[in-house]
Amino acid sequence: MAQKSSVWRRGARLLLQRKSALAGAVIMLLFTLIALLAPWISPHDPLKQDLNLVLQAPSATHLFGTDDFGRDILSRVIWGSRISLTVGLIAVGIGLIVGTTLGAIAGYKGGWLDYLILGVADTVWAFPEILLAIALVAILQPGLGSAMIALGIVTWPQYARVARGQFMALRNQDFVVAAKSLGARDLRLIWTHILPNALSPLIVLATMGMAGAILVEASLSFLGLGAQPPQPSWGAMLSAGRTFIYQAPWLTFIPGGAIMLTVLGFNLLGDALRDLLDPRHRT
Amino acid sequence: MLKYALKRIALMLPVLLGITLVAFLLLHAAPGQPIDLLAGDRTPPETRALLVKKWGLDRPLPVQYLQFLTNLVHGDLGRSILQNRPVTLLLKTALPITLEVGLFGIALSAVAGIAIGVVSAVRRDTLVDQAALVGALLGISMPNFWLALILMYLFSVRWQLLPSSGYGGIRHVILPGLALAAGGVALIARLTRSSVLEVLSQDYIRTARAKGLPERLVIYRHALKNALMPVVTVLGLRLGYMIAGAVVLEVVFSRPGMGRLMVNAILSRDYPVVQGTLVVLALSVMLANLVADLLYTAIDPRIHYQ
Repeated sequence: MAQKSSVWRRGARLLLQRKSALAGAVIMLLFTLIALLAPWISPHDPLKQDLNLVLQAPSATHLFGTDDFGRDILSRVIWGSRISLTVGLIAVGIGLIVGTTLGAIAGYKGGWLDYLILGVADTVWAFPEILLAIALVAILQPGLGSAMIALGIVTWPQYARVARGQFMALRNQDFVVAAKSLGARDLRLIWTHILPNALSPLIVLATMGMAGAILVEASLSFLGLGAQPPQPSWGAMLSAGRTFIYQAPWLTFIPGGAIMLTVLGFNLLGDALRDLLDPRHRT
Repeated sequence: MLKYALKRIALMLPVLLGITLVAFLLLHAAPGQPIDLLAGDRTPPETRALLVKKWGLDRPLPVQYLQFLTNLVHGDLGRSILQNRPVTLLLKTALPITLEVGLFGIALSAVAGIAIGVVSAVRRDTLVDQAALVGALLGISMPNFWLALILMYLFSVRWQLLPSSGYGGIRHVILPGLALAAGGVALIARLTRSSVLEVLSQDYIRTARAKGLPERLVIYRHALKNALMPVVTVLGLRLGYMIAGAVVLEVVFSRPGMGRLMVNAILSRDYPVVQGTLVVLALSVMLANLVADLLYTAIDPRIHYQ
């Protein structure tokens, strides 16, 4: 308990002292709120077309202007945050759960299982992220669901590697050996004794992973392999807007800015969490 | 060294098998009969029969995979359904267009990244250093295709200095190269900075300073050479990333390289081309990483591999 409160206290101090950590937290909180409150704060219907109002420049009624179908950009950006964050959360969730499970088995059991899991993980990891994601979406058919699954498959090896390392280091610690000698079974040892102590680096990785997942989803949607029209995904908006970069550059600038801010927020927060949770990085 | 190189190449084999397996399974995991995916729907029955025979489609999966590998080794990746030309021919024209941007991007990342990193380290905690930090954060967080569109808007639409699409000549490489390099510059700059700072705290640097060497010589003759070792590794790994990153940018700049070929093939379900581009792109990335690895062991005298 004492240790827990000190982590919170150090976290609070870090937020106050380091402007970058605070900025990351604020950005992330802001976009989470926007995504949660989208139906109430979005000024217009993100899908409603108005062909009398195509490609309007930013104005009082349409703060970020309108697109080539006369849809309100601000509303689409607001709803788009839901897509980005949901895809990020689910993709990271898949990678984290699959990776941690396999990594835990590899690290805890060792032996041929370890070799097998590590071998598969390293093979997958050798592919460049975006290429493998594109290939997987090609198999699964373009769409947001495919993008999430593809992202999970592409990213699980990094969680597996970290979890494996943690489990290997922890399985011989005194408190685990003690629990084992008291008759605790494998599953109980893993779940209640080792896992809670192995989580810190995985949380840091997952936070950074959100940034990566949002970027890759945007790339896939930009290529037409992720979100399909008329879904208001930031990547897809960018892709549709680039045709009008001459007449209506805001169609391109605004969704891209939203992507950058979100990714920046998760990166800053991940950095701060690493300093907070990883003793080697403590300053 | 030779032994290490051979071992390193042997370690690539499972990855190589993995790549070809993914490309092979692409055809079987996708909805529809493999032969329809390979031949398209306008191919006459006789040609279809030939294709079935050539790819062994009437035989068990493992045999088909072996057939796929055999054809691959003979440089035969099938024919594009859409363009009705051998896939290898399409790849041969597309690959240099992608490599061109990738190499330009990596060169730019190296030169600009190292320069900014050294300046940040030497002027630690000054305004220059902090500006570089903010720039690096933005560079890492910015989607490269967005940066590409902004550059296109500024340099092609507004100022009309550089072409916005197509290929041929250095003028067409500059904008995609810049967009591709931004993340790399940021990464290399941060890495160079911390590496230089670490080296500067070493004893031999103190000795060099103590014997009265001018600071410029200390940094450029003694510190930089050692500080750049880790940078070289990351640059090599980055080259693979550049090739993959060029894929998205080719769509932005309408460059007929590997990426555009692959994405168009996926969208039009031209499976032989999807397989071919995937194998060749993954292979190039792997080779780039191998070269980086070997280069690193060759230049660092402290590393000896058996």
